[in-house]
Amino acid sequence: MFFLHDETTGRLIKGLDAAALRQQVTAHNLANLNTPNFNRSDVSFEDELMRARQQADTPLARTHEKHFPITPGPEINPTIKTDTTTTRRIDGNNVDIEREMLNLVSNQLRYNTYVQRLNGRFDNWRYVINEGRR
Amino acid sequence: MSFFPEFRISGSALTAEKTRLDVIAGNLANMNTTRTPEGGPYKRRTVVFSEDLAASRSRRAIVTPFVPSSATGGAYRGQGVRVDQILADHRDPMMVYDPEHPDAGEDGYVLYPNVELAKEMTDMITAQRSYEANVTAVQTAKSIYTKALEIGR
Amino acid sequence: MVVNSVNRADAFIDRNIVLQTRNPEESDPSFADALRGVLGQVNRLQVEADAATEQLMSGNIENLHQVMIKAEEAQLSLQFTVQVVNKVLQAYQEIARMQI
Repeated sequence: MFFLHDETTGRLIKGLDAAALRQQVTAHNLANLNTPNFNRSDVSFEDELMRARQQADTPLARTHEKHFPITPGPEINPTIKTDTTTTRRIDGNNVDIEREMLNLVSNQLRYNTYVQRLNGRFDNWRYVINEGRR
Repeated sequence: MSFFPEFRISGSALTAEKTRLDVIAGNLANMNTTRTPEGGPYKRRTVVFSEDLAASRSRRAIVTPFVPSSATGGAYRGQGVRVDQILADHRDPMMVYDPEHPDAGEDGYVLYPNVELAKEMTDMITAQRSYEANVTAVQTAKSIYTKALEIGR
Repeated sequence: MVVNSVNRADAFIDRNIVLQTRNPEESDPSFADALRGVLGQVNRLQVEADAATEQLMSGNIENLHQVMIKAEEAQLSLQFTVQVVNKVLQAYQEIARMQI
């Protein structure tokens, strides 16, 4: 994939993966709105990215010069986390309908944004290829 | 219901809530049914929902494991919800003193179904809320797919 | 703002592929080898895009965006290669026209 070698585009694509997965997970949460003892789940990706970025600003110290320098910025992948900490109703279910609905909306907007950024990159490439004709 | 995973998941919820509404409607319709073919008053029915997971038909909800990879297909097992069973509520029927009633027992009490109007109405509203929420989920999924088709254009 | 990907033109040409396809008699990879390598990549991308489309049609619609991205990549790489070939031909024709 030689057009998409740069890191940002790779992360954009992973972001799209995460958003698509999040839609599915939220749909599953909503489907089980009234299922007894059900635990809602979440997809975490952007938070991990933010955390990794914050860690990158503070380089890790080495105790021995022969140690490998840890360059922060590992590969972040979307992960599904099951949430067992939020409040439960009497039937043991912890799905909050308002929260899930908000997730639907915000996730949709996130997806749209990533698609738009990706299209921006493709437009750049297309421009370079076509204008290079001259 | 269809190929798309989100539609399948939300579709399962729509089906399940519709079933619940049907059961509630049956309860309400038979609120005053004092005689049934099996003998005795009508018994209230409830539905039992359970989480539908791929490769697992166990009734207990299973915690979804961590998925430490970027692959979105196959690893997440959530498939929506299903109606496990429709239970009959075996609690005691309501007793109403009415000696004139043809179904009155020796003591003059008539056994009425154990259906409470308030409970059924609450359940109905809950079912409807869930139904609407899942319809929204379907619409959102549709917008996401439509947006995906715009990649590159 | 640094436009990383456009600045690095060598991102287009994967050195490993060029080295693999080169004619072993020649000492350095020539332009022909580079072109061969790129054409191989173009073909691979087309095949990948087709495979993703097949998967889509057989019911696995979960990653529609992946399919779209692969299709776009395949198209861009094809366009790029065609432009490069055109340029090479142009240069050749210009040289051929030169009067000695």
